[in-house]
Amino acid sequence: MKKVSLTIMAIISAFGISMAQPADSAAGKQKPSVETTVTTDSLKEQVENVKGSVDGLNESYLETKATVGALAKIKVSGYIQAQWNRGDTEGVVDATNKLVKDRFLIKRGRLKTTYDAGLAKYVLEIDVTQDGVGLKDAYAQFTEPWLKAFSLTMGAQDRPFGYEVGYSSSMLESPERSKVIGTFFPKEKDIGAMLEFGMEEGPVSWLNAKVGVFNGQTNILNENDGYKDIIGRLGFSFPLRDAGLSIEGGFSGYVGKITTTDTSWRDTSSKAKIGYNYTMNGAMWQKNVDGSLNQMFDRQYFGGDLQLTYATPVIGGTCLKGEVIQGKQPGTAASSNYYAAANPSNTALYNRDALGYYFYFIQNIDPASLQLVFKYDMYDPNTKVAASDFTATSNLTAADIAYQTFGFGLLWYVPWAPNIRCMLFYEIPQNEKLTAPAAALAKYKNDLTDNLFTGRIQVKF
Amino acid sequence: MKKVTKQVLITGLLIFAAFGLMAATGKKVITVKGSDTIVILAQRWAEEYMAKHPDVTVQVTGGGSGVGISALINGTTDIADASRPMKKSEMDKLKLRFNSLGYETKCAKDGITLYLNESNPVSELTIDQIRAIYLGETTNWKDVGGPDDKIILYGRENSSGTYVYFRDNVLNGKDYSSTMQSLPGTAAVVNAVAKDKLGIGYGGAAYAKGVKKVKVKKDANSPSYEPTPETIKTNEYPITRYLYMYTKAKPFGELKDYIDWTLSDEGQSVVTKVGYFPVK
Repeated sequence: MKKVSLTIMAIISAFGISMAQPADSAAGKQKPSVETTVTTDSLKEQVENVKGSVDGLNESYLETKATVGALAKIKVSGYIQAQWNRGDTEGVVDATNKLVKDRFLIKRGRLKTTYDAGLAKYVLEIDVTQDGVGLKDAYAQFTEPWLKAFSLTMGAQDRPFGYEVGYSSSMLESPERSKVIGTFFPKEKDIGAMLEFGMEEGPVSWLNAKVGVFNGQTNILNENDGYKDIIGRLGFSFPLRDAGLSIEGGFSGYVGKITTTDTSWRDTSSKAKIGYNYTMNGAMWQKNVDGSLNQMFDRQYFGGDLQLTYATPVIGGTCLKGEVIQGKQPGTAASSNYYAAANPSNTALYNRDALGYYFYFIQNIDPASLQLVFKYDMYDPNTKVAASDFTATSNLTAADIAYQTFGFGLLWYVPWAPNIRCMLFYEIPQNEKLTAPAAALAKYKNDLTDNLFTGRIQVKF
Repeated sequence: MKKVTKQVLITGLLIFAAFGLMAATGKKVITVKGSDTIVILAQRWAEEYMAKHPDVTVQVTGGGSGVGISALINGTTDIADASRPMKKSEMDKLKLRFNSLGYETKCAKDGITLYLNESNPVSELTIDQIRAIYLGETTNWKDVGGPDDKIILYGRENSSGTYVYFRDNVLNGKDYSSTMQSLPGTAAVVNAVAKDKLGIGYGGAAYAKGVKKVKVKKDANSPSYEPTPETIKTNEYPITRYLYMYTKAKPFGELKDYIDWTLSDEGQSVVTKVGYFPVK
């Protein structure tokens, strides 16, 4: 623009002087012609000077453009989720493990830096809360230049499984992910390498696929065995815009292994036999004493997910989405989270067959910038037992009890500040009601008083 | 549920409902944001529509197709004007927030016009020649039948739909030459080319005032065409495109009335007056 402005000024000056010239000549015919020549030369000199300045500015502009162009590839984004929880007696636990009824907390404080050079991408994301600073994403990605359909991502990233694992916490319509996701994929991230296929347009743009090899460790911990886990998802997407309908979904698989570290038992006759593992025998846990230290056990999940959205006239879009996952989950007596004991440990491995599913119903009310949310979430950590199997003589534990949770929410996108989202959400978890359990599980004869209210404000940039 | 929690929940619901009602009521205002190519057309539409409907305010701003679509995703505009189709990634973002893929309305046709300075003797270019010029492979006018002097490139900023459309459809998705001067609006491109005898620029046909329009050929053996109502209607002009209006979902109420009017004979006559081409 500066170049253009200066050029215009130079042209206007030139015109002004050249227009003035005949008048001067007419007014004073006695002026010597040599003076006219001098004036023209001076003008030429001025124009040359301006041209030189413009060329200089142009060079400076190109340098600035190159600098700004490089900086424009760096993007900083993030969001804060500040919330207030109020729970029933067993709903909220403070930092010292003491039960409290209500609390304020920073649920998430994300800061993400992305360098996006088109075919190459760098992403680093941290999470800052009252609990400290944690690493979320840290990966490098590049895309092949020919079809721009295949990309390779290496580093700490979302596991490519299902729908909710990779769904941004900033867009999640409930306070947290479903119980099955939180149990199978705690913290969502793992370190590995992933190949992804997807096209923006063309005859196969409806298809997308991801497959990766990962450490198989939660929360971006270092690898603790030599076995890698393979995770993949084959997805489809059919946007039927004329009908206002979108159908998306996919099928996912996780094939991994867990290595036991239990040294709590040693066979006195055969020192090679160290450590326990447990498998189900009918409705009872059976202790296996074949020595499981350093043995690997299957950690396998398979699932399907489906998302339907419909642009409901007048009121706003409607979404129905859900996911079902079943698989083999090696855990411990106390928890159905996957086995991640220290090495060595005194923690035996429990092999469970687990099942979980959830679905959301979301209705936008666009004229009021609202979303109404209903969520149903079910997780059964041990599909081989029912509530009636928890008897006084049973060796089943609290980690074998199934849960279902009903959630009701209201989201409000502030119309004059669209980067702010407010959430009111009420969750009603219901455990299996055990008919005649052992004394240690007596409290599960009834539904625990663990309902939870969340009021959250999120600001995203 | 405990009593206090109930009270908090009910209070929260009432506050949300009150804010929601405040947002839902009020004067009829339609906001339009996006493509700088369309902005002159959108402004004329707004002026004529408001003259006939004094109870409605239509606010029009430019910024580029990408800016308009971002505003639609953020919920800060009712209509996003775009001189290119909405991308799949943009549809995905819209769906995340509104559970809707967006609703597309083709509101006009345009031929992306190559502007030259009026003193430039070059009168026609093939698509391959245009591509080579904007990729920086051809840098001298003599290589395309002009004078022995360097070619000065003018173009749009990357938030522009015209920038994206031209890159994807003329440059086959390759990046522009780094020597191209990116200007904030088609009017600025036209102005620069009008002042620069070595300049070349591109943009909407409606802006081509005070510059020379180049005839374009698909290839060396094809006939060349100037962007005219006939050649654009028949798609003979090789760089013909639609201009779009996007809404979050199928429009209703005042928004539908306005969009229907832009597609009516009266609205489409404004398209012709501005220098673009009717969709029908």
